[in-house]
Amino acid sequence: MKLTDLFFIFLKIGWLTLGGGYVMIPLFLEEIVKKRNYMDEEEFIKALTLAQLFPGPIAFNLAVSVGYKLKKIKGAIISALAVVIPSFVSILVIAIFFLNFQKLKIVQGFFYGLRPAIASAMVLAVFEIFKKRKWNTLNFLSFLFLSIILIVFKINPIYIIISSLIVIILWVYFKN
Amino acid sequence: MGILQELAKVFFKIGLFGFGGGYAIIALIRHLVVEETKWLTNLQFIDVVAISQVTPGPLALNAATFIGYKMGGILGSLVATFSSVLAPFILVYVASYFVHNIGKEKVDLYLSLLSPLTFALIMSGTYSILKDSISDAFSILLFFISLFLGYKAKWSLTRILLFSGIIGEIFYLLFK
Repeated sequence: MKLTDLFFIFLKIGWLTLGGGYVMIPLFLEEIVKKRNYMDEEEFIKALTLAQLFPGPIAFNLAVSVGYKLKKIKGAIISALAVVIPSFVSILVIAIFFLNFQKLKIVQGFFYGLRPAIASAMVLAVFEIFKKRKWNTLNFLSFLFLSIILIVFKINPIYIIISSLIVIILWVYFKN
Repeated sequence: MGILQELAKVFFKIGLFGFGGGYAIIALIRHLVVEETKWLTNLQFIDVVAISQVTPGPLALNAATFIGYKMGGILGSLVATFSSVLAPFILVYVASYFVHNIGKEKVDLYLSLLSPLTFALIMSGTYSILKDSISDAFSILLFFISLFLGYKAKWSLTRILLFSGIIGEIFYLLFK
């Protein structure tokens, strides 16, 4: 496998990840494991686990950890670059248009209609979470507590993320 | 501080604290780009979220490219995009280098402890998007129609956005 192969595979994956998130994981599996056998499924799961531990878009993190596994530093950089380019190019083009034409009534009208739909998609996502998730009491109480301080007291999310992480990491560390 | 440095600082933070991905990152990005720096208005922020849902790439990246361009042109968009993936790249890279075996139990515990935080962030993001997108009776109607189409009729998000955008457009051009 050459670096250019890696570049084009991740470029393709980058184009296909509409909206981002976990939906693209099967796509990685298909391209890297099933079609080309660059790594076996176990190695892929390891790379995925690593990608999930850290902040950052999952598709990006996965590209870096897979790229590293296959071609070390060069692989990591090439994969990272390739997976970002499609997003960068398409948003840049849209930004140029949007910022030039956002004052037009026709553009404003369309976005006026879009906004409640986005809100509904998020409300639906919240529904799904509550339906699927099996909550234990502790998880539910910490969820409730964190939501209230975020929404009611408007505390900077960064402080909440940092303090939660400290608690979580200590917890995991001392559990054994 | 020049705008490029500020873009770098803000989007580095978004990369560093962007846990959970997807809708979970909305609260963090919104706090930094709407409330703290005022680079986007409430409504422009929802527009960026909407655009991000139908274009390649995750929200954090899309927001970086879009806002980078808005505030600092092409150079700004390069700086913001690069900064937004810098921390995830370094973290995943270093971890790939050092970590070869992670206990599955520890990872599962870590991810399950992380979920109340992720959900609280989603709740908070949903709350602000909902609050900002509902501006009049017609937008409330559109919200419920979209909710119905997503929940009962199982339309895809792209289809709902297109539909809602067109209906909103017609109403806006006729009555606003």
